[in-house]
Amino acid sequence: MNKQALVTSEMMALIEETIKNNQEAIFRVQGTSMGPFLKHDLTNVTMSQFTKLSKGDIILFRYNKEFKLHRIIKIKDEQIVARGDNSYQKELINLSDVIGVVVSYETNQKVIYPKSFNVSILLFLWRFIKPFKMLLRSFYGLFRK
Amino acid sequence: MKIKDQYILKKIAGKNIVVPIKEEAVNFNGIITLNETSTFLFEKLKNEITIDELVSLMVNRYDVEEKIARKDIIDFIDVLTKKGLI
Repeated sequence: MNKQALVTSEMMALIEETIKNNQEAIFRVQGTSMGPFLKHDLTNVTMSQFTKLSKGDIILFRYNKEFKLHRIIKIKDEQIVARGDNSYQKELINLSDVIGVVVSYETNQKVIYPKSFNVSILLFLWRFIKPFKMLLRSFYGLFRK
Repeated sequence: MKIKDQYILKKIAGKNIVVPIKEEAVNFNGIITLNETSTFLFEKLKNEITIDELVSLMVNRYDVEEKIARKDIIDFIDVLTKKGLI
């Protein structure tokens, strides 16, 4: 018997079932698209079923045969636009593609709630800084050539 | 001894995984996967069974000496007990 990481698709099937079973699912974030808020291989997210979704919620959803954990930036009726905090690409999905919502996340033993006031302020600042970050990246690319 | 009712075995993509079904939250960072032999033992432990009975079943099923089987079973039960599954 051993503890072993399951590949994403296998783990996601179990996570989906757990959430449907009305249990919370805790797992470690893989990938950098939600940085600096969710950190790769460091942040643990707690997910549950949802009754109502709103802008700012971090959701787990199916997208082009993949699973993504991104933030809702726009929501209208059954249509949702999501995007990673550290990503520029938007995803247009249906409500039926959503598996669950992040209730809280924990990095280095610090528990954070995604809709808290502090997160809202940081998110606002991050959105302001993000275009400059993209510009700096382009400059860096030019100098490296 | 027997496995607590709140733990079930699920086969997902060829892997045998122990899933808690009654806990409020399932932590996927510490999920337990079982190999073939431990899956066999887990299935037998769903009902009340003794170590001697498990040893006998394992020796009949697998090509293994009784002494080695007993040691492996005791180790396996020890892990399950420590993790609170028994």
